[in-house]
Amino acid sequence: MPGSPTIWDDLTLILPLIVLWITSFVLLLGDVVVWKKNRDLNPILAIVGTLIALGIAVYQTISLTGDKAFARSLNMDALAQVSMIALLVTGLLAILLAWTYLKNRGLERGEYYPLMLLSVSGAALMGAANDLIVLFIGLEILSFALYVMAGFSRSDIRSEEASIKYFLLGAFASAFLLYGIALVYGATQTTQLSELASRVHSAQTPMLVAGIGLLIVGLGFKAAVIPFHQWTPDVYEGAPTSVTAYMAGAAKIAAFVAMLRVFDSLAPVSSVWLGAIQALAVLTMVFGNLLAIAQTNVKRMLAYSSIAHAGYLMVAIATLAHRLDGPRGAQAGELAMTGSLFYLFAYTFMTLGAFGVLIYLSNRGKDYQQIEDLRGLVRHDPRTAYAMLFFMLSLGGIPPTMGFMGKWQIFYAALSGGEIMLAIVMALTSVMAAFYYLKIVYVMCFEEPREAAPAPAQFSFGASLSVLLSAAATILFGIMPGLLYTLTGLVR
Amino acid sequence: MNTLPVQIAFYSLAALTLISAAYVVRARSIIHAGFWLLPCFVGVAGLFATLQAHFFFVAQLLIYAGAILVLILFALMLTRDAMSLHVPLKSHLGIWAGLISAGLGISASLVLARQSWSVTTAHPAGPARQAEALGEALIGLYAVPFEVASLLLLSALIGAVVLAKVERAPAPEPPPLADTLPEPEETRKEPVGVE
Amino acid sequence: MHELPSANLVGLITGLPLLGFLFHAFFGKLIITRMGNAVGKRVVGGLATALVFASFGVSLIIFSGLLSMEGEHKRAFASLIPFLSKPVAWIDIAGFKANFGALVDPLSILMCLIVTGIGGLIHLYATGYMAADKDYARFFTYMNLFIFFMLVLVLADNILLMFVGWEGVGLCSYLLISFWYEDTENSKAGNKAFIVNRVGDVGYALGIMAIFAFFGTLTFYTADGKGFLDAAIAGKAANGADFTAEIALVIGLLLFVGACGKSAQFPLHVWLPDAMAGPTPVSALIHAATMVTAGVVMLTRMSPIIVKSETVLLVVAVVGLFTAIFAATIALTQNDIKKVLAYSTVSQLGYMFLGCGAGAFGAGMFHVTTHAFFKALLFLGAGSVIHALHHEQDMRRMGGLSKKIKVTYLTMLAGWVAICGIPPFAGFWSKDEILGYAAGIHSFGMLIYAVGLITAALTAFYMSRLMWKTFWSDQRFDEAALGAHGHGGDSHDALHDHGNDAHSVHDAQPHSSGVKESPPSMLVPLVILAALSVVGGFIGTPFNNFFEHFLEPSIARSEAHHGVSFLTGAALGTIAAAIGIALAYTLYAKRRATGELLTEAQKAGNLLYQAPANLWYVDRFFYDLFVIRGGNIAVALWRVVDQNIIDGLVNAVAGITGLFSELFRRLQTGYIRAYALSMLTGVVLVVIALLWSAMRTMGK
Repeated sequence: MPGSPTIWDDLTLILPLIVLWITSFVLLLGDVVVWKKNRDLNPILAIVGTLIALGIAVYQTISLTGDKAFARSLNMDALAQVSMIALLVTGLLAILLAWTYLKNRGLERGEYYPLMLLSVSGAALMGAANDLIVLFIGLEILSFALYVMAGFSRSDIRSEEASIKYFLLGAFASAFLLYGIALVYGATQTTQLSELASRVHSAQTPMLVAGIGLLIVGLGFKAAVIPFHQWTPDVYEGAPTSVTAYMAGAAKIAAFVAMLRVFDSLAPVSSVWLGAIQALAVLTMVFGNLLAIAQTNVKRMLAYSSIAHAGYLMVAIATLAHRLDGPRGAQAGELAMTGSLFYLFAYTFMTLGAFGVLIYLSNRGKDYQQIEDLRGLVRHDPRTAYAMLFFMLSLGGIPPTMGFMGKWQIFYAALSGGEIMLAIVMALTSVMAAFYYLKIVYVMCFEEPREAAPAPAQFSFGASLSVLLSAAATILFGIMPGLLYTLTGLVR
Repeated sequence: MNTLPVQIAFYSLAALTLISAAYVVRARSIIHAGFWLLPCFVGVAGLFATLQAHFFFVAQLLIYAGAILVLILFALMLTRDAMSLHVPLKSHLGIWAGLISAGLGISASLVLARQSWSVTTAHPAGPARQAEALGEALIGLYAVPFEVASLLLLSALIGAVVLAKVERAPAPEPPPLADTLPEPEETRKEPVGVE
Repeated sequence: MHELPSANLVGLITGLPLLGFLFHAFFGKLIITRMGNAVGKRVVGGLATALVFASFGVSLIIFSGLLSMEGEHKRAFASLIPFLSKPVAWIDIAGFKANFGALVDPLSILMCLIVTGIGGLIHLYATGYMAADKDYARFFTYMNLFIFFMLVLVLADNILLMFVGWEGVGLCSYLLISFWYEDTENSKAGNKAFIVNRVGDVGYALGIMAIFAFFGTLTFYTADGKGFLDAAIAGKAANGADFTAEIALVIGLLLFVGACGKSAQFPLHVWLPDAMAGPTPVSALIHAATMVTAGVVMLTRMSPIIVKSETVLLVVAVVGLFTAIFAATIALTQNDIKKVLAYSTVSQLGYMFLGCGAGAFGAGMFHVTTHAFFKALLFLGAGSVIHALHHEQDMRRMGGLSKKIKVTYLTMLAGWVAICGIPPFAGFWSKDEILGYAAGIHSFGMLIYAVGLITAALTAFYMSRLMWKTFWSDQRFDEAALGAHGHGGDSHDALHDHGNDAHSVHDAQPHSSGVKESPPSMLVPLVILAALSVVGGFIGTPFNNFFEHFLEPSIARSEAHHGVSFLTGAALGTIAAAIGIALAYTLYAKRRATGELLTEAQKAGNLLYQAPANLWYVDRFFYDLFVIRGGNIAVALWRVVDQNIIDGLVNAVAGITGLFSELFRRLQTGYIRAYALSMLTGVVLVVIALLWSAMRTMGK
């Protein structure tokens, strides 16, 4: 279009975000003022708003209208748009999961969905940030909402404990992130990532190096990278399951897309940070999987599994370091980028699916949290058991599921980028991971149910739909990954 | 500008800030800790003054030393038992924490010392121009973070409402969240693992 | 027009059967329970049939579109997803690219027409044949799934997707052979088919890898000439390497092993006769008309590679020829009507391979087409006979049926003349074409031709024998006993006596007795197929060979030529058929009452009879070698290696891992201060590590 872009062009680019914001305002006010009694309107309107935003985001992505916006502080490129789609899908599935879950527990307070939508927008801002300040604010919006949502079950002291733990440690990590941003700014006189990319090479001072280190810490906390991970199992277990499901997906996507952006622009000084990322990746993969084996609680197990998956994604970040090492490195970097986006999609589907199964089963009246609780599930609820089976296979990276395709892409990227060591660790720890995922499968399918005929699950439209969608995606994109490549492949 | 009086002012203000910050951490009563924030904020404001950043000097005094501190103190006083609660400071982790923090402090100082700072000799802009520049940055370069920060505040606000509203009697207390250990009595000493 | 009109409809060809599969899988059983047995089954069967016919309709549209295309290539690339005109990527990672796309060309569209056309007729037949089966919905679920996979196989635009279809039809074949899984024998037959096919699939998979290793792509053709078959025709791979005969030899032989598995060529033919344990419509559709010809289709698709190597061609021809005569001899001795037809199928497949081996892929495909007509007809006819006799499959207990089931008899007659190669019926033209080209093979061409003619005579003989025993000889069963035999408490024993095919049919009319003609839903397909068997050959007569001309763009040019003139070939072929029939006439006409050529005592003493009757001991040899001896070795390995060494290692590793896991779990104390401290430690370590590595690099 001729002439310089106007404010309207900029606003059009973030239209999905604006839709989210408006929806959350409407929900906030409406719940208090207009429809105090009809609590079902909240999730319905939230779904409608998310769907509209999703539609716009998909349209904008397909029509490739991305550009930098708002004095270059946002970069609405394909990465931003595709990650926004992933986040909106996560939000959508999470709203469906929360619907009956909150109702059954008397938690259906009007603030839940506005908070969730706000946090989605914060996560999307992180993914779209071209400025470290925007990235930080996005992170805080995401986190604040999550802190509150984790403590949403006020009557449950575990939920409150999760909330306060998450808050304190999160604030601690934010301080490091902010300090890191300050140091990077001090060394390069810019907070814009695109500027950073051209300046870092000539500004290699200890200050920049320390700043990069603190950025790794701040983002690594959100992504649950070892040794910044310890909050994860406690918060995952304590928070209401619907929150845990959402948190697992959204925080992971936001943190890793932000990491992709930051380390993409820091690629010129990759020799500085590559070693640390490699070490963290190995630590995270090995100990994440190791610790998951010993768990007896499904939510805790999934928390450690989320740590382990962060390790696999760190392999992709490490591969990104080779982006500027000739054509082979460039191809590997590209693969790492598209591969980790694919992986994030896979992760969100399979993790929300697994938590969704727990939520669906919890509609029987008692909480399903322990691995023991799933004994012999295939006998009395085969469909749910099969769904869980697929999620476990996918999390374990076993074909023909989506998890396998995602892991394979990162593995391949690491190999072609020359990260042989990491690829080997990734393969070995994946074998380890099979142990605890298959344990659930074993318990579900081959052990006798503890009680002969448990109360039948109360039908929950939202949870069933969410699990069904997740399962369909896990299988469909596992068999036909090309359908998703058309989207993730745009990120090059 | 690098004259002796300025240097003396800088070092004394820095000392004030650091020492009072240490007291914030060490104070046995949470109210005392709140009060120790005052010299800390004032010290920072003074540091702005020595840098001739007049606008930030005023802002720091007004907003932090004035508004935020008062807010914190109010909140503390309204909190149940805040006045009498003395947090036990005994922890076997203390030594380690000190050592590691010292390590971080030393490495951070070394990093900052090794930086070749670009020193400008030009006279800083006047107070009016500073405020103007800040304003321009806020609606230009940093418009998005500035605007979006309101959403952050909004979510914090909602959060405050959610957490403050009293709903119902708490359920019986389960064991704290941790990987289940063979010797549970040790983990149960404190009901919630928050310090 | 150089573009294919309505290319966005191609996805419907596969989409409609898939829709049927999904619908029946989820709702089929529900519909039958909700709407009642009679109505529900009509809905389910009708829908399954209608969808396949709809797919046939779309195939016709695409076919006419293809005919209207200009240019020599007649090739279009479309999506397998309905209403998209461009293929979408299926896998696309770092140069390893495969589309979920369709290659629309004469070969693929011909196969689409056969699969959906004959498939639709057989679906229709099955609605009658399976009417009383309790797993009616499951049957049509599998059938629709089979049609879907078969169409993926023939339409795929890359060899990997073709492999998906290939494995998919294998799966459906397995599911349908052991459809009546309650009988262990059926399950065993299914397993046998599955396992033997694995041997072939290893070859195919290795072939795919070899293709990717050499050509760097798995796509057959692309619009800009970058597919591996494009490269094979040009003689150069994308990276400039020459496509030599040696490479063609490796790839060609590997693919041929795959084709042998699926198309039941010696020595991997052993599964096909056992596959007759499935319901008869399955035998007709999968194990005669479509799936088993997939090997021929694949070789034809790969013809640019195959023709590059003389050796591969010769191997294909010799294996095909040997299989043809080998299976024909076995067919002479079988008493089960379906087994005769099964070995006949193996033999006819041998002919098709012979055609391919002669370089005459068009002739091979022509025989695929005509064979689909008449073999489907013969199987369905046999099914109708079995139906009429209340699940009797043994020809020794048949006879005299020509007057009792007239329609079935007349249609079978059409199939008989077609397969015997009597001019001007369908089989004559295609068999003649293959033999003509076979005579042109420049090493041993005439010898191959002679053996082919002998096989043709054998074919005529065993088919006449079948007709004799079934229709023309005297009745050798007690008609009154049929009904009584069919219902009541002893029906279960009856199953075990005579194999259990059509036990569903027998349940359908439990109170009728005597020989009865099949319902119209079964007779209509028979009549249509009979018509096709009679006139179907005219699309490929040497005078106006529309068929091979149409297929030309899909097939590599080879040096294949006729070794005998048309008239000589036609005369010799007809004489061979006549000898076979005449021999059968003279031998069996005398023994009208028993329908037996030899007495039991004569059979027992005659090695020439015993060897083929025992399947030339191939099955027994494999069983002894692999199942018994191989099993012993496996058990020994399991005892020594698995239980002691591997399990020990695994347990040790698991134990150590668990130990570590427990150890590190203790770090998770639940205290925030501990968490914060470990975070802080991490911060210091990360920063120091970064500074250290930065100093190292800066120092350099």
